[in-house]
Amino acid sequence: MKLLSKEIILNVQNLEKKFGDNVVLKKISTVITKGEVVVVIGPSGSGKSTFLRCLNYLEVPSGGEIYFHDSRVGFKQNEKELDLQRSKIGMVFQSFNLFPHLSVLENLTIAPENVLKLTKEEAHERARDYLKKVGLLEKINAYPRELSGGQQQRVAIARALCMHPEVMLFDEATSALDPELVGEVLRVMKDLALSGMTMVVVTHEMNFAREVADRVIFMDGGLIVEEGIPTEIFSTPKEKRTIDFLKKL
Amino acid sequence: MEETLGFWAFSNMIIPRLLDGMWITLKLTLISGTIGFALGMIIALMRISRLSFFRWLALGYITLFRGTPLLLQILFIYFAVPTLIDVNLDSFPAGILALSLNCAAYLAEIFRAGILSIPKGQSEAAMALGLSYYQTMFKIIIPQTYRRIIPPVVNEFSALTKETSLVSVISLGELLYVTQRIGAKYLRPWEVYIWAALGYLIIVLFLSYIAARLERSLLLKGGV
Repeated sequence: MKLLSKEIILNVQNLEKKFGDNVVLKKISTVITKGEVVVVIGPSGSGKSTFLRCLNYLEVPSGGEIYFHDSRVGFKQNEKELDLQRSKIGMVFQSFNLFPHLSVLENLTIAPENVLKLTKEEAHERARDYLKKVGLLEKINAYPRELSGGQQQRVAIARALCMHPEVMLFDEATSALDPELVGEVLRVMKDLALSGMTMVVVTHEMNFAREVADRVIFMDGGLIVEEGIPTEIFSTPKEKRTIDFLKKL
Repeated sequence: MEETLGFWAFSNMIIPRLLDGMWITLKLTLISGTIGFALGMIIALMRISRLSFFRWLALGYITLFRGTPLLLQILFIYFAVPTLIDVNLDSFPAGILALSLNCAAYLAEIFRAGILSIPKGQSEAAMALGLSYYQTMFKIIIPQTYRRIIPPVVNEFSALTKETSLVSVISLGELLYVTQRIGAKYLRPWEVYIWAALGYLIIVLFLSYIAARLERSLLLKGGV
């Protein structure tokens, strides 16, 4: 196990989310420290995706606080500050969400040029670097519709990395992929984890959780039921709900 | 003497005057269409704004201009406005103003529908990258609506082409006004109306042709 720093990147305190009368998150608290890879597992409807989407305020929490370093995310702040926080929190979606009207290169440079105000040359160089890292440099001038699902998701990861984020959020990044394409995306995610990136990963891939996670969070019914290092959660789970969930896999 | 002229000889005589009218019709269409386009985009953005004041303002505007006859709006701007405020518009600017304001209301709803048709994941991905609301709108969302709004926009522009004929009521010498005058003068209505109909048809076909080319070039670029 690698040595984890104590520097807190994301601090979640009593996070609550309701959709009408439906309480999806029930006062959740946790901290994400620098370099940590946290994998969130749990049955569908457990609130794990909502939890992740609250971290960069795509979902507006109903209560509680989230801090990115020392600044509170979203709440009653001006929009510029929220945009700035979001630019440092990378996100990868289940449905890729590449911009279909832009080429792969333009997908990767639009935010660095417009948010970080990099020059065209700097942004291009960065884009090329990360495309090489995800093994898709030859697709630099392709349009998203010309790529397979796995390639699109790797481009989406590169797009997020081009912002040099401090933490990366993965929202079921492999769930929409054909089985034979899952591996190439997981490999990129694993490389990223090994490079020291701070990651919060919502996934159904238990092998990934077992191999890559520093900490596994098991969620059910809007609560963090149990958390710990992978061997604890997978080999000696304490809570009945965790045991039941892992048995069904 | 004119009654003795054959169809082609008579046509040769009147077509230059009809072309003058057609030129004014084309100018009315293009200028009002352009102003209406810009104004319509602003109203569409107001209509989906997070500020309820803008939403209500846009809704009021659209309701007013879609809910009353264009003919009334033209007459109001030309005859009623000068009695209310000290502005006297010539028939050409008055016509442009009425047509622009009217088509902006329809275009705004087309633009709004286009924007709402883009999947939510697109704006989420843009905002997650730190792009601001306006950057997201103008660089990510609106460019994706272009191809899907071309057919309804062409629809609106061809309607606008024909609606310019209503401006004849304020004595603006556009195609229909000229046609009526010539038809009455020579008492040969069927020839002049046929040529006028052809004139409108040509303008509408010209607009459709430009739209088709635009659509094709967008198709080559990403297919959205």
